[in-house]
Amino acid sequence: MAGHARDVVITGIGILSPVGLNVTEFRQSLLSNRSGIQLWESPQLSRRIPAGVIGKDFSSEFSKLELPYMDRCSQIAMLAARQAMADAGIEQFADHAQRAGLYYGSVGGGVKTEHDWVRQFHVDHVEGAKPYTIMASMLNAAPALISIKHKILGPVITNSSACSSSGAAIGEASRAIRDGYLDLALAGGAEAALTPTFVALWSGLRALAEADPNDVSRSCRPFSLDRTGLVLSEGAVFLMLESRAHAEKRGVAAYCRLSGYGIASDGYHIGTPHSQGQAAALRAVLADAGLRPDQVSYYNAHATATRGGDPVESAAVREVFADATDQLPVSSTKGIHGHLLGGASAIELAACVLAIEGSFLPATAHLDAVDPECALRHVANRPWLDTPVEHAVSLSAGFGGTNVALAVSKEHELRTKNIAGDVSTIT
Amino acid sequence: MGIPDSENILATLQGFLAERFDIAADVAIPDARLRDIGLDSMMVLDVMMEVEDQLGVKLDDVTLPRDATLGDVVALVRRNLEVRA
Repeated sequence: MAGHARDVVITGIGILSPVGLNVTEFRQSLLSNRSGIQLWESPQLSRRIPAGVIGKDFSSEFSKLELPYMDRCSQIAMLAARQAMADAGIEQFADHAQRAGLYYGSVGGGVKTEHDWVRQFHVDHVEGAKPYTIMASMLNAAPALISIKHKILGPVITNSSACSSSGAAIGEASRAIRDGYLDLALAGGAEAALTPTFVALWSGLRALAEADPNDVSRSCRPFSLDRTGLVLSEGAVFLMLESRAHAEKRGVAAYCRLSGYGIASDGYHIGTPHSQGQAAALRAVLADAGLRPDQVSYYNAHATATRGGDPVESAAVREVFADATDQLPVSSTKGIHGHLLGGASAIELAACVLAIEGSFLPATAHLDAVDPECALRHVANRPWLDTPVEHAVSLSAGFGGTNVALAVSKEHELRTKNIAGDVSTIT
Repeated sequence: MGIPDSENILATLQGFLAERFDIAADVAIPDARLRDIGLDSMMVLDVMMEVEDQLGVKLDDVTLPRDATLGDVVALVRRNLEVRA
């Protein structure tokens, strides 16, 4: 099928995550199945939890005139956005005027800033915040700062649909390009919410994983019979999306095509997922990408490793992929990077992009005994190398019931690019 | 205790600007326009709050001329202190 000029291609990737501070490192972690999950603790909490931590402070990357407005979430988002821009060969967007956009997803925004302020208020009895605090803590602080720095003058939009936030951002950006409103867009999400208050909020749900007593890096075990819950993580991921015509005009290569977007809501319960809504999103993405179920080469699952969530998604997959389910390779990469919340969809779509780019299927880590309720064709413990991927699908399901599915496909019209990486070194 | 003179107020401001924003004292001179040394309106507000804390006063009048200089901020602080004295 001949390509369309307004098809959306991915020309840049930026990643800061617990398993890599750029796309090359992230790719290596997928290939080696290296977990970035470690123990996280706070003097204010008696329980230590496993978490996907980026063990680095990025404040030295910014001037002291910038920092007052920059929560850690905005810092990592800004750095990931810059990586994606550099990867795509774009220095600034001013010349694109309203034809360039930024679509972003986050659950909490400037959580640390807000945590610190609330502490000042209650503990130190400070009655007036610093002038910057309100802006640094806003949910849309990161995209605002990125747009100001890099002159993104079209839509700068923040989506918040819990764990599908960045998926909706990417999907809506791709629609805006495909429908002719934009030529290019940065799209992705970020989260940096590892604060005692936020962790304690999640603890109330009883959905967080126990630290594995023998090896904390094994604490997140999607689809596994002995899974104990999800692992909170921090990170930021941006993709540079542009129309094929625009990429061609710039003379740049693409990793692949963003071939489909499906969004559907459960209309069921604010905290309990429903397979009908997930199945609807999956049907929608297949229809949007023009794919039959048997054409999908790899499925990156939302699977957060909760008792309730993984079987619901497995049921949705079985329903939609039907007879093709037995041939569909499935994995959840959360086993190594945990749950990035606002960045979850974006990092998992990046894993799909790299699967196409590097002809390999990322694995579900720590999957020794599959829960029978999650019976699928699992890529367990080791990635499948030398496995060409023509089409990959990723699903994200957010609290509140918004489900987003995205599809990426091998690009056959434009030149494609690779990330320098030595696959042969991987065991 | 007498009212701090303009030089003392300037030194207080310079110390804060260096510590908080990395603005060197040889840049933070009275003639320097606030925007030229990178200070936006919220940062100026932060400077005012710091002055209040350090000098233990409440600045009732925080009116600055358009395109103000650091010298204008010094004059503002001094003006408030004189009213209180």
